[in-house]
Amino acid sequence: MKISTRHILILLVSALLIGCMTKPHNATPLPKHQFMRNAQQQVAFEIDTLLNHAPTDMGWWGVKVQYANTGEVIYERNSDRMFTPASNMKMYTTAAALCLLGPQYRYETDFVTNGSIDKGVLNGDLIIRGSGDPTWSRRFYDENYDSVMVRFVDSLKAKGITEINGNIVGDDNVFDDVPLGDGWSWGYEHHWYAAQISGLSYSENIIDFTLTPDINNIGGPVIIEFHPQTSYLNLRNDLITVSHKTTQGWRHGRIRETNNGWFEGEYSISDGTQEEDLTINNPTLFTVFALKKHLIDKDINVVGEPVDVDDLPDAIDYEQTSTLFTYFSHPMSSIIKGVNRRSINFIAEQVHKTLGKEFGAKGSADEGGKIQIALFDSLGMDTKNLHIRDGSGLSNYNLVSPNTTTSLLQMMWNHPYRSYYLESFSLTGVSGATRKRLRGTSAEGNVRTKTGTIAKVRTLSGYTWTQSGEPIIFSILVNHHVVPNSQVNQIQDQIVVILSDME
Amino acid sequence: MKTHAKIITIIIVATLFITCSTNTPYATSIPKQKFRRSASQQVAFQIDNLLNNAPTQMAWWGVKVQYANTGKVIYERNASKMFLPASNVKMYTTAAALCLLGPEYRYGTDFVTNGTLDNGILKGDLIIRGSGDPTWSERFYDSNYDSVMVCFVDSLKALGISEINGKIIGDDNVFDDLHWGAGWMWDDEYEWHYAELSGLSFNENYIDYTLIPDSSTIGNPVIIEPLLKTSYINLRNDMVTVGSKAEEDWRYGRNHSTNDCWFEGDYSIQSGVDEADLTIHNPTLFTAHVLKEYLLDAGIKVNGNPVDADDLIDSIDYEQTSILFTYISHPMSRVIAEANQPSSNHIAETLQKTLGNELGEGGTSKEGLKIQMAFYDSLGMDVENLYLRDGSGLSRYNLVSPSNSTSLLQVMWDHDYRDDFVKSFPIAGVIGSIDDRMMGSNAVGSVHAKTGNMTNVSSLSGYAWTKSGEPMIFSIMVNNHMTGNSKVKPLQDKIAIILSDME
Repeated sequence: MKISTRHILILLVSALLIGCMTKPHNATPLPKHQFMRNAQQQVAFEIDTLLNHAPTDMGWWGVKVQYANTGEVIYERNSDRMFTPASNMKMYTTAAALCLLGPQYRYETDFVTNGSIDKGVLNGDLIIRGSGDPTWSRRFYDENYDSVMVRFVDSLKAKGITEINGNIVGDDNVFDDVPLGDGWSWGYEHHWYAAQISGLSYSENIIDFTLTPDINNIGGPVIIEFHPQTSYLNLRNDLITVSHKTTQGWRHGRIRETNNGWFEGEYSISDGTQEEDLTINNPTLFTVFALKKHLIDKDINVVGEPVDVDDLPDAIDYEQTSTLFTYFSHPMSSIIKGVNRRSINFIAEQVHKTLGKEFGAKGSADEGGKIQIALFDSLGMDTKNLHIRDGSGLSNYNLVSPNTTTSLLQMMWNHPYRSYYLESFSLTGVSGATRKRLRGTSAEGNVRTKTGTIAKVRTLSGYTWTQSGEPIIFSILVNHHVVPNSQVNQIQDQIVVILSDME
Repeated sequence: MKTHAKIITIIIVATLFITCSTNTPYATSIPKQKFRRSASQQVAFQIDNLLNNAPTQMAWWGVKVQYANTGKVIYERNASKMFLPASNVKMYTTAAALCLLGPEYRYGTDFVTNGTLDNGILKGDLIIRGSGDPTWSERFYDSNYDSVMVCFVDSLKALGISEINGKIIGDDNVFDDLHWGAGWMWDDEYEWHYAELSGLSFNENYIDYTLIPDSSTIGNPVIIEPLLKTSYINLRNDMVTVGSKAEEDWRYGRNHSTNDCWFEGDYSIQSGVDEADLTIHNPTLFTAHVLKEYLLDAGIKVNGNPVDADDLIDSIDYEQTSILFTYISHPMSRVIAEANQPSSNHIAETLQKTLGNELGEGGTSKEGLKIQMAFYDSLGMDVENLYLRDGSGLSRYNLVSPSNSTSLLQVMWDHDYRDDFVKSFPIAGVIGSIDDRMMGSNAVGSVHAKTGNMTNVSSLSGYAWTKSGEPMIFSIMVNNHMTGNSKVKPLQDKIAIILSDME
């Protein structure tokens, strides 16, 4: 639309020039260089040409590109319009966490008791006072699901504890009890990307499963292994090994508000071994349940039960407890990598609530959002045009524009923590969500991006460098496209290559 | 943007004429009438003017206006772009239900027994074989909650039944057991617009409450009266009366997947009497439970419990039952009016599943949608680019364009059931969701339009009549506005008024 109007204008101007130029007496030829595009105009022309010829007419496309060093704008299209950002929201959450908590911030979780140790017997409850630490998962421990639990057990053993004569209590009160984000859908609650948020969490509040068809037992159940191993989730396994793919297929899920998971259907030998996952209900109880198992596995006798603090008749008086040990997480610089590279909603939401806890009135998503807005405001960003409703971008209620996003990226480019921030992004063709994209192009190993995908939303924003090493900031936000995601990806990638190819 | 370009074009064209026409030997003066706008150009100019000067630049606005009698388009803006329609989806659902089931279609619900009637004693179960009838609510019975239940009781009494020696069984198997639409938000579960769907429903599966502050004593509990008295829900009332409005801070809700409802916080005397509503869980059991209560109230003894047919050990063999009576609903023409005017999600979703049940392969949303799409296709609509995912519009997976909607409104204008369809819409200043809009204008009593409002989404589509009685079709869709729907609605109203003011 825009270009056709422009074409008409050019035609009209030409007509004007042709029609009238012959008349003036002192007509001078127009300087030739006026018709040559500079590098910047050339890029704008190429992006325009690309988008005008791509099937973008029914969707919403917003693009903004600018030089990182000067902030000079190279290209914009619908750059002041509001878009649902999907996981591009994580760029906001992690920027705020990095600026406010700092790259060296670590979560500290106290393991305390309301009793005393007597000849190796802890006479009292073992209480984990959750800090919201999102790192107790294989992601932060060399793909080992148990590592963190083994460390807890070892710390207790180092205290000489051989028996716990009390309950294992999980305290999640550092955060509110809202387990999911604003406006998330009930339909995906069992999927890993909608794992519950909690002040006390383990394994990102999901269980991974390895499914192996039993070649020697066609018609028998598929073998399902749990990672981590736990009996916290009751799994109904009605998944049958079949010799050929059938139309019936298979499904899995978890009944809402319960830990009753299920697999059912027909699983073909030809599918080989596959991975699946389910979220769990009540992460707090899940964590203490897992710890009890590890304690027993290591021969520490536990007389009591795993308990969620919310189910205790009386609140815990921490004045009357003593700390057994304090567990420190990885630093925030690693945590934001965990958020951005593989776009992990769980970690983003935890960090978001942590902002509320540390700087706001409480550990809630609302407070986290308020703190983010206050920060961005103080840094001179236009926060009137920014709706932050969750930390991960899974909510459809978030709204940002290409303008707010490039201004965020610009602010972080100018920030002392720039390198931590950039390193947390995926490196195109190399790592993270874009590790398989644009290999063999000028973009490979040269573009730092954050992706975003939810239904009818596809976003890609970040940094790239021209051939001469000039850093460029870009944000490409697409909403309501009716072409497949793969096609949107392709067009977004082409824009990235145009920028990386710049001289 | 577009208009700016247009203005520039006009200036250039004007310049061209001025500069060149003086040099042309046969310059003719431009005929004056060329600069006069026709009525439709005038309308387009007014709408453009309105939208270009309103703070709409950050949101996405899509508008299409056409004459109903000729289909001639008089205004378009982003008419082919895809928008979240919210409750404008109900226009699609009700059009299909009206045309395919007919204005005289009525739900028939059989009340049957597997036993016999002996001296006034029903020896066996009373089974309500749900038909999906969405009309068993006060909405259809002069705001009377009791009417429909009293009618059932009277019908049983008329058969001479004074005692039921068996269970009250609710059978909802006419529909599937998915009680929400695709992509609905988990955190709206307790709100009336989110009521669970079922083949057997009563009062649209929610209960209204009246909140009355205790003016005599500050600090006393607020009186909470359910408008439907039933023991089906457990109500926790922790709401107390406070004095000033400034102190007011109260919440209410229902715990997920339970019937545990609660009100808590501080309620100001100054708020006076207020209303609130909460959905219930498991509509099938709710209906059977409430019927039993009404039977007992009417002096009919019931020895068994209310039961959901899904909890029976054996499925009911209807070959072995006999019909006591059949309850016939209001006709479809009335049902679609109650779906469209107050924008009832419950009725709209039920209609969609009914389409699947009556004309497709089962009472599911998916089957209903297949039937709908085939219907639109048969009427020559562009179904390639129409993304419907539920029947009410609550799903954020629906996408339609203004062109889709005007073409639906056009085919319905040309349809034999035009009158029933148009009459089912809210009327500006008179009835339904726009009964307080466009007040004091020519639109009052004339504009028939369906609203659609949810977070960051506002739409208004329907019919308007010019002063000379010429019918117009319009669709206005707005997405991703930062201002809140209250700022968007007056602009939508102005467009409808511009059409009503046409000569």
